Amino acid sequence: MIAKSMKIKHFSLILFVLIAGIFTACDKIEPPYTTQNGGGGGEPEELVQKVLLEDYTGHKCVNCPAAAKLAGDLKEVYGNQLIIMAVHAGFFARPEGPPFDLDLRTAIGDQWDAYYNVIGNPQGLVNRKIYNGAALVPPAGWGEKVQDIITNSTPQASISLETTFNTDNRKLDVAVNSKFLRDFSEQYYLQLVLVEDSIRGAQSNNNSSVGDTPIIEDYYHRHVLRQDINGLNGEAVNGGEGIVANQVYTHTYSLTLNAAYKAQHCAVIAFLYRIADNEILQVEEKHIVE
Amino acid sequence: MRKLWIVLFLLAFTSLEAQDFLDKAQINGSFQVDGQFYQPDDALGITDSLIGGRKLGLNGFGNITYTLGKFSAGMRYEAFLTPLAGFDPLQEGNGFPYLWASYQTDFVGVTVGNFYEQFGNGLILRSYEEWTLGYDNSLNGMRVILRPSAGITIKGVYGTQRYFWQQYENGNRGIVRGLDAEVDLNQTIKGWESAAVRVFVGASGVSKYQKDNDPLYNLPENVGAWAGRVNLSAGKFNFATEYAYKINDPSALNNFIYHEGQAVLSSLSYSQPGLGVVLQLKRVDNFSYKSDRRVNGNAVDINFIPPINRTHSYSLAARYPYATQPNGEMGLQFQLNYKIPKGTALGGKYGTGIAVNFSQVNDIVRNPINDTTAVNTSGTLGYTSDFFKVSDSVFFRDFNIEIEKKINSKWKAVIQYMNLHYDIATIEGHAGEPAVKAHIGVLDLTHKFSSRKSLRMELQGLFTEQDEGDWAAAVLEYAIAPRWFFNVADQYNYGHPEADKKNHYYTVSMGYLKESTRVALTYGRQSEGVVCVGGVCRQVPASSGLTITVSTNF
Repeated sequence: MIAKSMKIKHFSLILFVLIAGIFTACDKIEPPYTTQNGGGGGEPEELVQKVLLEDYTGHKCVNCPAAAKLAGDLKEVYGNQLIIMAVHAGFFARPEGPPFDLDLRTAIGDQWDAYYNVIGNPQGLVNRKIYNGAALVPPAGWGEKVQDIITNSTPQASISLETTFNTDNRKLDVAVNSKFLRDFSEQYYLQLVLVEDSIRGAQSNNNSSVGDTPIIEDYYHRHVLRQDINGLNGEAVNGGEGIVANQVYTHTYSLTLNAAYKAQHCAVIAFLYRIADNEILQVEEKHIVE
Repeated sequence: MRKLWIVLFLLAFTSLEAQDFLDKAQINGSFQVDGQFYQPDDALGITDSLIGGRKLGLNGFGNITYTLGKFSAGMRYEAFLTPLAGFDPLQEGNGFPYLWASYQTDFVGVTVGNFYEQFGNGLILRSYEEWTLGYDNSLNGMRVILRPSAGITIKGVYGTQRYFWQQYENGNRGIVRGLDAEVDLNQTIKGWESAAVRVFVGASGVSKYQKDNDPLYNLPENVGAWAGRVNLSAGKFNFATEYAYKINDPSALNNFIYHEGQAVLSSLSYSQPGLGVVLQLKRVDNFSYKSDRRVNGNAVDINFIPPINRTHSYSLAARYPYATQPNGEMGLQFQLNYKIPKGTALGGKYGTGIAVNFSQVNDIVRNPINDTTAVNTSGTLGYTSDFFKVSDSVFFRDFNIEIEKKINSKWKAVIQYMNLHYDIATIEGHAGEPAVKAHIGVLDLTHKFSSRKSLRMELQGLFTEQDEGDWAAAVLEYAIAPRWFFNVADQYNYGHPEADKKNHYYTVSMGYLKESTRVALTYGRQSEGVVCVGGVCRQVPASSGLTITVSTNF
């Protein structure tokens, strides 16, 4: 019996040491809980890798206001290196009776939503890059994916955007100059879309730290995708041919701005994507009224 | 890992004759295929575009276990091509997600590869698989179990968890490490061997590691949790309790707050022939514990918070099931089972069974950390909470009574009444919708024509002014034991507030059982709803078409 008792003590001690070991491997975080590197960005003079964060959202999605705030917080960190586009599509974006009668869906947004099989909202695409076999990234993963691309990618293309907006007839002319820093045998496409910021409407919400629950009546939908400018798939950069380094590819487009859009809130987003896997090589944004 | 598995497999048999592989071994297996043919159904709003070209969903698995003496090994093949409606699209794929080899003696047990494990009630660690939910959080790593002395069991595990078909690489999710010890004091303390009180005590600790790459928050890379538990039994009484604590674990599910986590689960029961009474209490505060802090769906849960609510089997009674709220809940359950004895006025010739059950779950109280920070603000402590205070917000309440009566040798009846309060805004995320308050009644009659043939009839009614309004349901099931059953059923949402949605959800089904093989066919409509197992739920969209299930085991 003494031997038995000793054995128990022996194993109890080992167990205590092991459990204590687990708890020394704990990271109790003390305030401040957030990093202090805000206010990044400004317009860098040298060529940098920019990132397009697509926020798939809907006005009936209760978790989407928190995701939109997160996107805004990331914008505070990365400034103009991060471009946000909110794609209202799918079940939660369907218009209903007041106050959810706003329809922010678009043909191009619906197409992307179906292509990426976005079942629930919020979901995101970060430069449409595929991580571990999946392109969709939940909001909690946006930050590290954006950081990964900005930190670890070397820019391989530049986009120069020029917009001219005639306030009288609301005609918008867009000129895009794309330049690649090396040859590419793969096909690249140029996609242009129009986004409108701060559209007022109702939004479902379940997070009291973000706004009223269950509905934020005066919600400002940010960076809303409004329409495509050059078709649902964009246009081949070099007519379907390979890309030649340092050659400037120029594309121009015109459209009449929808009367319902507030010009001072509108911007054009242009991005170059590889047709094989849709990954975005470079992206640029320019407001149509400076 | 596959190479290691093969090497271990080969090493285990180096001393065996080749013939032993077959003669002395035992092989068990089970297979199942669930298929659904989808068709458009205008009345349910199921269109060609909603089906998206997907005419057929198929979920299937095959499980094989090989045992030879102290060695065993197994594998499970799965194919979701394409997954059935309502299953996560990430399920799509096929392969062998579960491969393992194990060596067990009285003193030690070692498992390599994939395994399922649970510490105590699972409050800080439980890996399991639930086919009907499409849920699998198995660990892929190693497990060692030591039994140094009678009554003492020590377990150690480490590994990564399954996340659909995504391989673990480059730290794309966390690593789980854990230890658990359980001691039967009656076997280990001199003089307690024959004591009237039986005492088990246990303790466990788990830590997860996940790299912090987040640009906004300072995140803990190592998150530890521990738990202690006691189980006392004396005669007809049993008392069990477990308390668990977790350090700050900001995640997508808790909105990236730095509040600590706590959970406690207690149960007191009394049992004797003809009478059983159980009282359970639970408090959960910020106790979601996942090996990937970015995931907020049903995946990579390290722990499991047991529900303390009755799981209903009748379709309308099960229409509003409770889903555990890991961010915070306080609940209790009372269950009484009593059999009125045979030969009494109420018991009659066969006795009468009565089951009374009550459960209620409320929110916990959350106080702001200061005057300027809203509760649950990301990147803050989130809130403070008084351990013993209960919020006025009721998530779920279920009072039900069931009477089971064998009337004579031909007839048997079950009558059930249920009174329900269901916070659909919290449980299903229907923001702004009022809580469902419903009365549900069930009558289940079975008539036995002979020892093999019987006819069962169910009549159910669900009465509510909220959500989709009133429902009625009827089932007729004819069984020819042990091979055949034929079933006709209809659920009618006659009280839906929108006239064009007062739909019938009819089904016709049949099944055939031979030896251990079961084939079932169902044609009809399935209403939109929620399926929950153990407090974990998935949404099931409305569907229409033919369903086939084939399962077998050997």
